[in-house]
Amino acid sequence: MVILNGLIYLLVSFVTGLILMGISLKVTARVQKRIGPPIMQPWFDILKLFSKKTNISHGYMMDISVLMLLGGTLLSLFFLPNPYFAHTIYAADIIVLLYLLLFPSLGMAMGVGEAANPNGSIGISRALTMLAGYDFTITIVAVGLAIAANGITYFPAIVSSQAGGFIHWNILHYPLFAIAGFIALLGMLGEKPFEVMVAPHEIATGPMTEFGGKYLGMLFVQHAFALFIEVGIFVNLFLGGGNIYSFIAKIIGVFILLNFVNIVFARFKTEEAVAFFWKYPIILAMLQLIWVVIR
Amino acid sequence: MKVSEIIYEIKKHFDVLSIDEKNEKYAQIEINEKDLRNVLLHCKHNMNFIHLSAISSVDYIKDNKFSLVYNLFSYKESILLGIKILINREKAEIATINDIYHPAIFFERDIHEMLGINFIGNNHLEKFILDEWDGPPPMRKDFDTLEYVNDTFDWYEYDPEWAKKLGIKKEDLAGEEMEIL
Amino acid sequence: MSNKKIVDQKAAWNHVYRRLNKRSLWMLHYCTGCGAVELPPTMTSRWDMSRFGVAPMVTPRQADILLITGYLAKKSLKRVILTYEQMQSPKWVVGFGSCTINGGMYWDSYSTIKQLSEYIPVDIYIAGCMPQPEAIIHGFNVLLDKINNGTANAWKDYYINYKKYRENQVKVLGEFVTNTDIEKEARYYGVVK
Repeated sequence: MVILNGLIYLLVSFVTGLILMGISLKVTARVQKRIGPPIMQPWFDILKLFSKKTNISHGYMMDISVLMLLGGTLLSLFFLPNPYFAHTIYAADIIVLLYLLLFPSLGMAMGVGEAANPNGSIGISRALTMLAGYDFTITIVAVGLAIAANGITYFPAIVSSQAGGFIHWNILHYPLFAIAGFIALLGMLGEKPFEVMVAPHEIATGPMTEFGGKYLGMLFVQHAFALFIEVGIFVNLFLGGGNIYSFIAKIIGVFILLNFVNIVFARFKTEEAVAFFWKYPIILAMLQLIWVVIR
Repeated sequence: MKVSEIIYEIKKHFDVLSIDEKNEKYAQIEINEKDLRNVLLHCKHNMNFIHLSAISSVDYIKDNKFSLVYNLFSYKESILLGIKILINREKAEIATINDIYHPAIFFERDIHEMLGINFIGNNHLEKFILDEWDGPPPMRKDFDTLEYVNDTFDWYEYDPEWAKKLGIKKEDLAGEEMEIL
Repeated sequence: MSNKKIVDQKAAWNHVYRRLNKRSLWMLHYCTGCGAVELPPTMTSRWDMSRFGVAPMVTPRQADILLITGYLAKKSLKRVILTYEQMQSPKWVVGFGSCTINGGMYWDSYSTIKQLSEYIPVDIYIAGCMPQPEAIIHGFNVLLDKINNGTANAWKDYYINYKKYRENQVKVLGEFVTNTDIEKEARYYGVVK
């Protein structure tokens, strides 16, 4: 029974992730006044990549790095409070979840180091540098909300403290945390203006340069799961979780807002991005944190 | 200063063979080959022509000569001056000027590759643009490109029935193409 | 009896693969000649190419279509051959403009090549100097139909007739070294015994 429940949860999160990727393509196209690709386009991309007849690998480290990427993401999937899987690992808290989200970047760094393409090395060093910006912000936000919800970092407690309707949601009680969390979410997902780690026409898709065929298919699958997890964290922290229908609706709503920001902005450089994080979002989060502690 | 004043200055010290004033800002003068270095040094140090724009070259096969034009530019008066010399076509050699103007290295490398003129004293005359070329210098007028192309490459055979084989009907085309069918 | 069933299953899988393959094609954004100026209008809002699933991609390890847009000097030909051998199969080559067919505007030049299909195998040509974006989209649709029918197999021709292609390449470029092991790949794909 547990296994069946887990498989249903995996299926729902994968399909939601694919639909989110398709929605981002369609929304971008409609804003630019054209018909975009169909919504199931990422599904065709993944199937085409898995049906390539050769896969070029540069050694054992590159094969292991793909497993580490996918494995880290799947593991953190089961730590997220959600209405689909009734046996979420309750013994863990939000700090563990934020720590597990570092595994994909480290796995990719190992694989890129083995491939020895200079474009990839530049891309992955930029990605790991920007971690010093958004990771601090999201940690301060998470700890502040945990203090506000009776002082323990137990994630379902934060979710259930917002039960009872629209009035009790954290986004209305702690708006500065919400702004800082939204900007940190942009950095986590690699949307503009923090897109410098992919930077398509400058360094030829950054760390994914030497990955082709089935390896790239695995990266797309991991991106679908990662979208679900990270937007799900934001929905749980600020918008109160929800039942099996409203959870997906809230995720799609927040993601469309993220996309509007993505379409309009240009890219920051790496130093500018880290400096921006340390100036505005962290100061807002600190102010809100002082207010929470005094109360 | 105007162009005519500059040419008058040069005429005071050197022997100018012909003058061609195109407009107020551009003129071309022709001098002897042995005066070249002295004229360039005079222009650079006394008259502020500190920028070498280009060196260009033409193959005059009927007169049996190459011409080399050194284009100098002055920022102060924004005037372009072209200094032209004619050298022998059989034994095409001249001393390099890259100690007066350093960018001349690249222009002389380009002219050496395309026309075959040897610049004595220039150590950087490697291949520049035509990496896999092993024939004569291609910009000389006695190099027949059409004959070279017909020797090296093959062509598609022209098929007079091409329109019928593709199924094109007369109504689909317009204008002169109807004659083909 | 059982042999027939296995062959039918393989043909059915190939049929499914081809139908899925044609829905998402990535072209390599390598602008070899002056024809590449017609690609930005095709990709942006007016003649939108992404509704067919065709998107630009920047590295040869991840792209399916190699687009030769215009003339090829001998210097670029060497780099194009090295790029073509780094792509993963199945892959397709589209020749763009008149210069790839029979020399085009530069037919009497000493340093451009005249027929592209002597050096790498070509699937489909799009005529014009330059072709309009409507012509480019029509050309891509013809390529998608060919992939659906299973007749776009020019990449196999490279392994079968490799001696002829190599002879033509060396005649124009001199001896040069490629890092790909063509015989081993040919045996892996089952094209050559």
